[in-house]
Amino acid sequence: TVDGRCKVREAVVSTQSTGKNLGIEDALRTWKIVLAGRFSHLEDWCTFIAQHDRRSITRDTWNLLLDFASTINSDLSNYDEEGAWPILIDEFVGWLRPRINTSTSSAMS
Amino acid sequence: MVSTQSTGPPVVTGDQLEELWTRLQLGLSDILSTGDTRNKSSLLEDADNLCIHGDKQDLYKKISREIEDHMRGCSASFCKLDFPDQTAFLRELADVWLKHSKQTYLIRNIFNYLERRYVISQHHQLLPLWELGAQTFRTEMMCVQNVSGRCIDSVLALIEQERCGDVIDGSLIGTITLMLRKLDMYRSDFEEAFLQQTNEYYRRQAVAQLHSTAVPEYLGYVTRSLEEEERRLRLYLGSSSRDQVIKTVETNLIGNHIEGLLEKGFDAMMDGSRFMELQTLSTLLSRVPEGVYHMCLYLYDYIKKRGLEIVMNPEKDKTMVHDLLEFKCTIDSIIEESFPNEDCVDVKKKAFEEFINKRPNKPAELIAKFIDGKLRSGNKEQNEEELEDMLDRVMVLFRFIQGKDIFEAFYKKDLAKRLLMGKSASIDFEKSMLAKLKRECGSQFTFKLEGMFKDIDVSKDLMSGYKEKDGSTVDLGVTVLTTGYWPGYTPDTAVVIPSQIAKTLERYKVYYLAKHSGRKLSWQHSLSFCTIRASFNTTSEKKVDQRKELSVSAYQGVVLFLFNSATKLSYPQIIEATGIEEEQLQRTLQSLACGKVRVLRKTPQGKDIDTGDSFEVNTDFKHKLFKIKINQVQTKETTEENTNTTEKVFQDRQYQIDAAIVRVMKARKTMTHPVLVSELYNQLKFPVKPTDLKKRIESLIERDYMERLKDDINTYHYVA
Repeated sequence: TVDGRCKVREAVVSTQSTGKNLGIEDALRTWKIVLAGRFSHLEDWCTFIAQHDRRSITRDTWNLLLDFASTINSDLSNYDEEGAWPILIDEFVGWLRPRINTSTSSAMS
Repeated sequence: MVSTQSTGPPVVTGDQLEELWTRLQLGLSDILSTGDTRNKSSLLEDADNLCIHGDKQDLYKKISREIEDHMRGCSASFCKLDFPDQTAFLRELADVWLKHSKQTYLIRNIFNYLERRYVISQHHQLLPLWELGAQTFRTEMMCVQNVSGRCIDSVLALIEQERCGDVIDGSLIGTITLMLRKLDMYRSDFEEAFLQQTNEYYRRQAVAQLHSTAVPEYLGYVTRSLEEEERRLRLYLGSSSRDQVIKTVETNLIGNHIEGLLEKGFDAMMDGSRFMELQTLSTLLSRVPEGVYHMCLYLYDYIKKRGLEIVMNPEKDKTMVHDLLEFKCTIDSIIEESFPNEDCVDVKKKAFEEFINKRPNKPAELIAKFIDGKLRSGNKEQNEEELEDMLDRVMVLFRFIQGKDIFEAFYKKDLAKRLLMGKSASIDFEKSMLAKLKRECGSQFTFKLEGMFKDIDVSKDLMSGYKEKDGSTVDLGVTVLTTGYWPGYTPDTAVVIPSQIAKTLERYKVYYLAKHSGRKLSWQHSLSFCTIRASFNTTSEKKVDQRKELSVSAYQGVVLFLFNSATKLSYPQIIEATGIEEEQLQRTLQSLACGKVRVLRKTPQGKDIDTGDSFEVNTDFKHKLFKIKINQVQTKETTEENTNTTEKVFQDRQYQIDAAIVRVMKARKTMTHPVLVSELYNQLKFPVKPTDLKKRIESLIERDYMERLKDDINTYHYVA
């Protein structure tokens, strides 16, 4: 719900200590709490971020992650690379897609 | 007994009519058996009379019967004959026909009156005499005992033989086909079979020939085949089938094998610049639907393929521009000679633009470097005209490049060097090149470059004014550069200049600032150079004074001057004494102590500079020349320099993207992502990827220049 989302955002803002960007460690911890049950690819996302060469998450990416979690199908079929998603999320989708395809194909065979 | 007009028609008796007919019948018999008759004029009279006074219908029937009976007889004897071959059969048939034609013609002449007065006025009910003869021939001769079938088979067989290379009796074929036409049998009985045979023949031939010959030879075969068919049609088959025959040949030999031909032979012909063969190919392909279209596709692929070979291989960078110019020239001539149509010219342009931009940045850099090479003094390769022509051809390549700002950065850097070190071959060439760039890219592109030239001229005037005023004897040259026109140089005011020189420089500064009080001057020693008189006292017994004149950069000079007041200096000491930035200093020391011309001796020896090194004058220095130039710059540095230049352009592009985004957002206030992206593509003049744009958008969001709408993440809003 919209309300729910706003509450999540507010919760995030209050946990941030300095500046606009959130450190990776803090971000991972927060996500695991806040997005549990709301984001089917939460675990993959955390793996991806941990591997990725980033020190902090921008505010914009943070905000849009929630949108991503609530609007994008778990098979990523309605994700538009040409759309306005932040680059980090584009990269996540690029990283995730082949992993989904191999797991579905092995499930089918 | 011809009636005259004045009196009424005389009555003619039945007996008299009988008599008339008897005579006519004899005459007809003569004609039909021998082909001629003795008394033509009296026969004519008789015919006219019988026509006028007798029963016309009856007369017609009688004539019909005579012809018919005779024809039956001919046919019977004809069918009894044995023929050794098809040609003999046709010859006999033609013979019979020709005789018959002649006879019918004669009969028609004799009964002309009947024809005009009776037959024609009856319209469709009765055949005119000629047609009557023809029909009779058809029904009694051709349609009996499969004569027509045999006839057609024979003709087809002979045509096939001729196609296979035999000599046949062409005029015989001509006669037969004309006969078929006159018998109204050409279309119905012959043509379709002929076209089918033609189709089958060329279908087989295409496969066989393509398999066994190379493409150029095959094209020759096609051309010859078409010529042969035209000839055969023209000489003996008649032109009514012409279009279909030619089309059949074209379809079978070319149309059905377009891909195969192009796949097999196009590239080889292009590689070999085989103008004639390509022209033949082009002409033949233009005869079939989609032929030229496919050829254009292959042309495009070929140009792209060969072009990428030139452009994508870093090992070939040294000759890239030269190779490109040659390649373009070759392609231009091929297209002009062999494919003179608009589509091919378009294809050429598209292909060049496509492949040149596949290697980002390098072609632009190399073209700038190439032009630099041509504009430098010492380039004695071409005379004026040739140089002018070559620069024009380089401009054509330049036109294809999408990231022209890379070129600008390198061109500017090289131009600066040429101008500052006096290395231009000719100011006229420089100006001419500038004019070309202006024509191509507009005055905004060349504005700063022109500024550089102005600075040079103004500096010269200032210098002569200074010399007059100052009257000193120091040989000084100063060029004042307007910031912004010239490439960016890092300021080096920390460098310690020997005091005598510093004083001179200060005097000039005073002079200049008196003229332009609001301005600020800062010396750029990294660009300066000087000539130093040096004497090397040798350590040998002879104590010979080796004097040399050294042409060195300002930095090199500053380092060398230190040794006027000290014999040996350590690296740290030199750093402190000169104030030159460390990386630069290391290079300077390397050029003086580790390169080809070692005026300094380094301890310990080696190519790299370490903090433990110490330096002294090389008293054993020898060189065959009196005036020696010591290069400051080494190859490694050039590569670094080039990377830096490219990096600067990329930085600049980022600023431009940011500026464009802000500009657009400010004007429109709210925009969706796709609309913003498409607008940016319109405005930006260099190639960008969607990711590049996204990066800058995200950056601007972080910096609060713009934001996303709460309910629609795909739409941005300008933050005032």
